[in-house]
Order: sequence, then structure tokens, then C-alpha cells
Amino acid sequence: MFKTEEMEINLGPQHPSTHGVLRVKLHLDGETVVRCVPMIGYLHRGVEKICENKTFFQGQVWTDRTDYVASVSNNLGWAEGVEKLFGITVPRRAHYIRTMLTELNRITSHLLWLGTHALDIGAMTVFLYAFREREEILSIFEAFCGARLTTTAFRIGGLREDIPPGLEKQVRAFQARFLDCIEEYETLLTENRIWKKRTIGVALLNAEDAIALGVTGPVLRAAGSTYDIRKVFPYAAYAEMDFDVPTQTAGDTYARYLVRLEEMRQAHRIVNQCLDGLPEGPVMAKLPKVLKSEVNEVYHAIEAPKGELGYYFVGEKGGVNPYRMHIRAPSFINLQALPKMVEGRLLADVIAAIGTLDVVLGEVDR
Amino acid sequence: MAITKVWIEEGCIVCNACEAECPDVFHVTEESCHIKGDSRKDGRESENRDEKAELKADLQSSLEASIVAAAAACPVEVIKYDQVASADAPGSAEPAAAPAVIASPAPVAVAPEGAPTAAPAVDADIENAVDAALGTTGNTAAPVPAPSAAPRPVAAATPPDPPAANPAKPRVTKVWIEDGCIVCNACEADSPEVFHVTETTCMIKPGVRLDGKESENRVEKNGLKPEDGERLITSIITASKGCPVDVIKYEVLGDAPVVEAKPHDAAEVAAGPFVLDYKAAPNRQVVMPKTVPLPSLHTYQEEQKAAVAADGAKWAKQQADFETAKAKALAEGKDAPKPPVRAVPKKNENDMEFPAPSEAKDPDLLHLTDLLDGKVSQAFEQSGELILQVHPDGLIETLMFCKGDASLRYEMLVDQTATHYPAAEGFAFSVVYQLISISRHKRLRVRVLVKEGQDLESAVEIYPSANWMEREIYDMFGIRFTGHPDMTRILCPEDWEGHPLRKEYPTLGWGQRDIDFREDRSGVLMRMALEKAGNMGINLKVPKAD
Amino acid sequence: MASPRYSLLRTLIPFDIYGGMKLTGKYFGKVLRQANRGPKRTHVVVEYPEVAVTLQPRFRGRLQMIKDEQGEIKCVCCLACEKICPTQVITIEKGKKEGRKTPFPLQYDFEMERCIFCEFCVESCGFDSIILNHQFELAGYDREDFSHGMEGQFQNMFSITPVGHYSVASED
Ligand code: SF4
Ligand code: SF4
Repeated sequence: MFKTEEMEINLGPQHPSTHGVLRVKLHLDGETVVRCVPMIGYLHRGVEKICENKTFFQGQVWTDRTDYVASVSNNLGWAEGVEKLFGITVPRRAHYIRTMLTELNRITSHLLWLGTHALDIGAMTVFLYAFREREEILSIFEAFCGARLTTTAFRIGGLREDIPPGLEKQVRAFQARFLDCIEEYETLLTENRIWKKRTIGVALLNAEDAIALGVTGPVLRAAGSTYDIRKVFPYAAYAEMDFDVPTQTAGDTYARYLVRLEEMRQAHRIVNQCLDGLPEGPVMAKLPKVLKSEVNEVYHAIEAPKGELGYYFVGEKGGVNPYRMHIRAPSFINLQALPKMVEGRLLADVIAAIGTLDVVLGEVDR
Repeated sequence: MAITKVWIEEGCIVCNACEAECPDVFHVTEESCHIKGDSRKDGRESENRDEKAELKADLQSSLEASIVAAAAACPVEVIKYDQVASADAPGSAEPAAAPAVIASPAPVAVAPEGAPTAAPAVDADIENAVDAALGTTGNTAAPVPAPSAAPRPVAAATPPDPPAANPAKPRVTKVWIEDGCIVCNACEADSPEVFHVTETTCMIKPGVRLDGKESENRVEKNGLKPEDGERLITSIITASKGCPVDVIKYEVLGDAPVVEAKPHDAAEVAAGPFVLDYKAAPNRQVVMPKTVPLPSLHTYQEEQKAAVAADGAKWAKQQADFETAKAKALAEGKDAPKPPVRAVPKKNENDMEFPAPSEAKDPDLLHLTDLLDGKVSQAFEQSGELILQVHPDGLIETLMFCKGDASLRYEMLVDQTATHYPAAEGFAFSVVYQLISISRHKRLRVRVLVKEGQDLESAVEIYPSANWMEREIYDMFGIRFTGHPDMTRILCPEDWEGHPLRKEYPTLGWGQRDIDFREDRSGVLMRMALEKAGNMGINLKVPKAD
Repeated sequence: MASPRYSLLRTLIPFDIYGGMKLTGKYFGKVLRQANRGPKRTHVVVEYPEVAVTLQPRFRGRLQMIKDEQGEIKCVCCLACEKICPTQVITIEKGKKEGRKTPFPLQYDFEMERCIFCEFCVESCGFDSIILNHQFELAGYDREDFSHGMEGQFQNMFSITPVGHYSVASED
């Protein structure tokens, strides 16, 4: 009379908690996930192909649109990758400003993650507080470069303009408040019994699996590894900054939450150091009017809020366009770990797992 | 055509437009624009208004297009130049006889290419405008119909002179069969000497081929015997047009004769005017790269050596010239000319220095080269990165060593991607593996070169993270990996046609809604295109298909 | 992990819930007490469109052409902006005008629906003849509203678009 058979359901592509258009094909046995297959590509725009047909200068605008919640980080990766390809030395002041903005961007990205992840799991209030602070950082971006999300913040060789007057005051005002704000999120979540029940021991990924699957960023560090590109292969002004790399050993959703919160504190520390130690000088390197590449091939990786963001360029002799451009998108690779995290677990944990991986579909599909 | 002199009249507004177009010749200073010393015979840098020094001989024709473009871009039109017709190939910058891959409705595919090349002065924008205009009209007024009704969008009012450089008769150099033959025998009926239809597909007969093999010739693209190519050109083109699935492709040297195709299917002809052949649409033609930018130490060193040798030869010639001039002057009893000065390399004023590749010094690279013994084609360092190029058979072994060897310990495969090199010989793709060692803080790039159609071994067993990355490479380039658990497309839909990141894939995708994105709302583009084309003697007004 | 005794205590006395409620209550009270009234605003919501939003000076809005004091268009048709635009939305037709030494744009077409407001065009213009203004209300009733040329009452390159005329938040 009763049949028992595996059920196949689709989570997404329009599920509110998939943060974009991720479709996850789930084979369920009752409420337990037997098999999980992420289906991606709904947002594939061919960014790599487009950038191969645009100049090095123009291509940056497409990086805004891959990981659209961390566009400043993407801009940094693009600019530094191209600079490495050409062998350009960037002035120190530009490095400091870049570092400051990238760290502020890390905060916005983590705040957006915190708000939406908590919202998925059922804690509504944090979302409002997180977005309040994010708004403030976005208006800092607006003051610096004129746009809030699609920033196109940097230029090859430095910055377009120096920071506007008043920006430092604005950043300092934010900095003064922000540590208390993190305390508020902690009050709402860290000891919250429902939050702990929903996150501790959920979506486990140990360090070995994480490394095998190429997972980077906070997800890897929550499993115990200390791999952080800012420390290991320093770029921009990180070599001169004093900060810690937060790690946890549990490798579950709760550990990742703690790591990301601590990362926001460290980002706050770095921003302060950038402001205090901002050197004087030009913000743009001296460059020829038209950049023509030589035959060269570089891979430049930075620590984006989501993990290792790498730009791979191949330059052609006398070319004004990259011959080949490839984005190593952290979300794309991290999403590979989703089946490992949820197979054998409950359906409701899939939502937590997607949230805790912090994927942005614009970057997964590119 | 060539430009002998270029100078700047009074009134420069230092807008930098010319430098952006042609940085080799123009240099915009604070007050005015100068013609660079490097490009001039007398080596001085000035506006060149009074002295009118000539350009260097080698630059005269190579920079022609960009100088013309710069002059056109100048808002105050103060860039003037002397243009002379050079001896060879009047009226065509490139010999029109360059082999062009022609899709079946041949005239449509070549016509827009032909228009700008026949033009005396080609400006990138004109090309764009012409293309755009062709695109819009092509889409609305003259859809590409079945071959028999194919209109020539560029009906030349004054047909371009036949290329003087190539008096030989046109001939088919290559013919091959693409995937998708339906074994209908149509081609064998048209040209039995070339085609042979078997049970499964159509073959190019051995008798007409240079290598004397019988195959589809799709991969190897072996040439036809020249005499056969000349003799059979009409029948091959007829067969190609007659092919119902358009899989017969060929390359022609010279002007292809216009061949009327036999309407083979009434239904198809009727459907014709409404079907746009995406691949033949003029705005979807791609320019294939001509160079192979594969960074390598060997090539770099050879280039450097050649540059040094060229420099030395130039200097020797200068000195020899001086000696003869001196001897001549002495003989005639005049003052000796000034001895030449060896040009010093220009100082780099910019914060930019090309990161040149250097010999492998890193212990990891040396260790791996020892371990792999003979499988490594080259190892070098560039931009602070370690690069190891191995043979495809040694790939898995290399990765095993990288991961397993106690002194290497590259635990993570962070990235894997490929690059398409259509112009290369002996390989078509390079696949790179970016490895990191988390414990030792090192990065390494392993590179293999892959031929077209060659499979690589999958790295999933060693590095599970290769799973999606290999699927992405397959999706984007069509390189298959053996031993991969699930070799399917990942970003594109399963039924997608083509591999988007190959260089022959057009930017305006196939199967995309056919909008010309640069819409011509106020008719500007159209007017500009018509005017420019009119100056070139081309009639762009496409006859309406009725 | 806390010891079992401690966690029993925590179950009985819900500190976590108390902390959360206190925080929420604090902000609730604050807003309730001085919603839009207090001299110093503590909340971040802007009552747009009744209250104009403040934009940063570098805000990147719509592309606009500038005229100089004599009412002459400053653009000299160097086409730098047309070439640099990553989405190719600018089309310029070069022409001549009586009594003007430099060329004059007969047509300056700007297709706003594809503009991504990157400001590359303004950056490349050596004559300061275009700016991105501060208009961010860019909705239109049909597609034609997004294509701007030199003529037309609303869709021209020199003033803000129709919606801008009705908004209280327009900057002037
Ligand atoms: S803002 Fe950017 S996209 Fe818009 S017109 Fe200018 S260059 Fe083009
Ligand atoms: S860059 Fe400035 S001057 Fe040149 S065409 Fe554009 S708007 Fe006109």
C-alpha cells in the first residue's frame, strides 16, 4: 500500500534562500539528503569571452558584475593582475587606499552574508542591523568613486583620483561605531540557543576535504587551516599591516560564523592602520598612454571575502586586449563542496549549508 | 599605398586623440603634438611642419592605417600627410587572394570582409559603421536566403581591380567535411572526382589529395593537388552549395567564381528568406589571432638574440655606409661626413618594466625536472611565478609528484584552465594547473600543450577539486578528460552548440536573439556608413528581397 | 562547550533571549521617542521621495553634455568617449558649423538603456565637455525615452530626463 522510494526535488532556481539562481537537485530519502547535485549556469554571461574582446582598461567594468557584493575586491584583483602582467609598480599611497577600500568591502560582503544567512535560518533582526552598517560603507564607496555597487574603483597603475576631502572623516566616524555594532550582532546570535541549534555541527567540512576540494577563504579557515593569501602571498599593502588570521577547528556553520565575525574585526583593524599610516605622494604610476602587452602569462590571486580570487591573464605581443582572461571564482570552487556537506544530512540543513558557503551566483556562473 | 611624410599644421589643441590612435608616430607635449624622432629618418622630434622630414621606410606602410585614423580623429584636422601609391598591389592593403574560410553561402561571408580591404583608407570606425549598417540592413531588408537567391550585399559599383599580385587562376586549396554528413550522395553526383560517400560519411578521395589518404579531412585539413584544385573548383563549389546540411567546407585561393547552385529542395528555398544563417552573418565574423602568445623562455631568448643580432647588423651597416661615404668624400675632396652614433636604448620613464622570463632557479622546479626526467619540456620563472611545462603523457605523474613528494607537498589545485591557440602548429590548447602548497607557501603552474581532439587524463583522482574545473574546460573549449566521473557541460546548457571560449566562436553568440545592439535610432550610423562607402565606390544600398 | 550544570542553568535562566530582547527594545524605544523629530536623527531611513536624498559629489548619474558661457557645445568630436565606452552607447557624427573653428557634433547619440555609468567617457574627454550628472531617477515610459540625441524636448543631452522634472529629489 505504501511505496517507499527516493524522491527527487529541485531546490531553486528561484528559491529565496539560494541567493540568486542556484538550482540544487536533491534526492531525498524521507527528510535525509541522499544525493545533491548543484546545477549552475543560469547566470552565465561569458564574462571571460567579453573581456578578451575589450581592452585592459575597459575590462574592469565586468569584474564589478561577477561578485557584485564584493566588487571592490574584484577590481583590485583585476588591476593587480594586469599590473603584474605589465610589470607596473604602483605608488604606495595607492596601495594603502586600495587596501582600505578592499577591507571595507570585505566588511560589506560579510555583513550581507550575515544578514541573509541569519534570515534564512530564521533570525530576522540581524538583517536590519547588518544592512544599516552596510549602507554606511556603501556611501563611503559612493563618496570615493561615485557608485555604490558597481564601483569600478581602481585603475591600472593606481587610482583615478585621490580620496575626496571628508572621506577620512566619514570612514573614521564609521570605524568609531563599528566595533559596537559587531557586539550587537553577537548579542543577537552568538549565544542565541536557536541559532546554535541550527548551526553547530551542521554542514561539516573538515580541513582535509576542504583542501582536496579546493575550498578557500573563511570556509577553509573555519576547518583549521591558516591559509590566508594576505599573509601567505601578501599583495597591495598587506605586508605592512598588522592583523591576525582568525581560525576555528570545528569546521561547521557556527565556526564559519565566528570566523567571519572575527574577520570583520580584523578588517576594522586594517582600515584603521591604513588611515593612520596613509603615506603622502601620487596615486597613479607613470604609464604610457596606450598599454600594449608583451607575451606573458600571470596568475594573480587575492583574498576576496569569499576565498581565493584569481585572475589569469595571457598577454599577446602588442595586444591591447588580454589574449585570454580567466577568473578563478572562489564561489564556483567552494560550491563544489556542497554535496560533501549535505549528503546524509537533513533537508533543512541544505539551506544553512548554501548560506554558510556564501556563494554569489554572479560569480559562480560568470 | 604608403605615407611618406606626416606633419602637424598650426592649431593643435593637444587633445591626445592622435597619440591614442598611433603612439608610434605622435607624441603630444604640453604645447603641441610632435612627430617622434624614432619614426623619422632624421631622428629629430618636432612638429615637422617646416622641414617635412620623411618617415622611416619600414614604417611608411606598416603605420599607414593608424596614421590615417589619427588624422581622421584629429578634431581640428591639423595632421597632414603625404600619401603615395606604393609599387605593389594598387588599391588593396592586403592581397585579396588571402585564403579565406568560406561558409557555404560564399558571397555573403566574404563580401563584408572584401569591402574594407578594398578601401584605400581604412579606419576602424568605418569598418564598424559599415558592419553595423550591413548588420541592420542584413537583418531587416535582406535576410540570407537559400544560396540560389543570395544577393551580394556589397555589389561593387566599380568592381575592385583583380589583384595584380596574383595572376594565377583561382583554385581550391583545401576541402573538408564538417561533422553532420547525412550521406545523401548529392556531392558525389556533383563532383565524383573529389567526394566519395561511404556508409557513414563522406570522404575526400585520395586521388586529389596531396597526402593521398582518404578521409573526411576535417582534422588534418590536407591540401588538394593544385592542378586538381584549379580544374575542379566549379564542381566543388557546386557540391558545397548543393549540400543540404552545409557540411562541405573549402578554402579558395583567388576569386571564387560565382556558381549558381541547383535548388535541391523546393521547401527549403521557400523557407530561405526567413532563416538567418547565424554563422554567415557579417557582424558575427571573427578575426582569428595570428600569433601564438605562449610565454616560454626559449622563444624569449631567441627573440632577444635576434633583436641583438638585428641591432648589431644595423650598426655594422651604418658604419659601412659611413666608411663608403667617407671614402667617397675623400675621393671627391670634400669634408668627411659626421661619423654615426650608435643609438642608445631609450630610457624607460614609466613605472613599467616587462617581467622577462628567467632560468629556473627554484629548488622545486629543479627537483621536479630531475624527478620527471625527460617529460619536462621546459621550466622557467616569470613575474615571480614558477612554470613547468610537461608532456601530456607525464601530466598525471607530475601531479602525483607535486602532491605526494615530501619535499614538494602541493596540496591544493586552486585553478585549472585552458587557452586556445588556433595559430599554433603542433598543438591547439594549453591547459594550466595552478597548484599551491599551503604548508610551504609556494605556487606552481603546470602547463601541458594539447592537440585538437586529443584527450587529457583527468586529475580528479589526485585533486578532487579538478572535477568542476575540468567540466568547465570541456564546456568552454571542448577538451575532454578521460577518467572524469561526469564529463558533461557545466555552465552552458547540454544542447549548446560550440565551445564559447575558442577563438573561432563569435562574440555575438550563435542562437542569440538577433538584435543589433548598436541600434541606429536617428540613422546616424546608416548615413555615415553610406557616405563612407560611397567615397570608396561601394554601393551599400542592399537590394530589397521581394 | 559548557558543562552540563552550566547549560542547565542557562536553560532555566534565558540570558541569551534577554540580551536580544534588550537590544531590540533599545532601538525600538529610540525610534519611537524621536522618529523624525529629534534634532539628531538616530535612524538611517530616508523618507524619499518626500525628502531629497543627499548624494555624494562624485555620484555617477546620467551622461550630460555641457555648453560653455556662450552657449556653445564644448564637444569637439575627438571621439575619445566613443572609443572608450565599454558598452558602445555613444555615437557621434562629426560636422562643421559656420564660425566655429573646431568640429561640431551634428549628432551625439546616447543610448542610456545600456549605459553602465562607469564614467570612463568623462575620464577620457580632454575638453570637459561631458559629465555624469546627479540624476538617478532614470525610469521612462518606453524605450525611446532612453535614447538621447541633440534634439527633442526631454530626450536631449543637455537637460535631465522627464522623471527628473517631477521629482522633488532632483538636485536643483
Ligand atoms: S558612463 Fe560608461 S557606459 Fe555610460 S556612456 Fe560613459 S563610458 Fe559609456
Ligand atoms: S571625448 Fe569629449 S570632446 Fe571628445 S567627442 Fe567625447 S565629448 Fe566630445
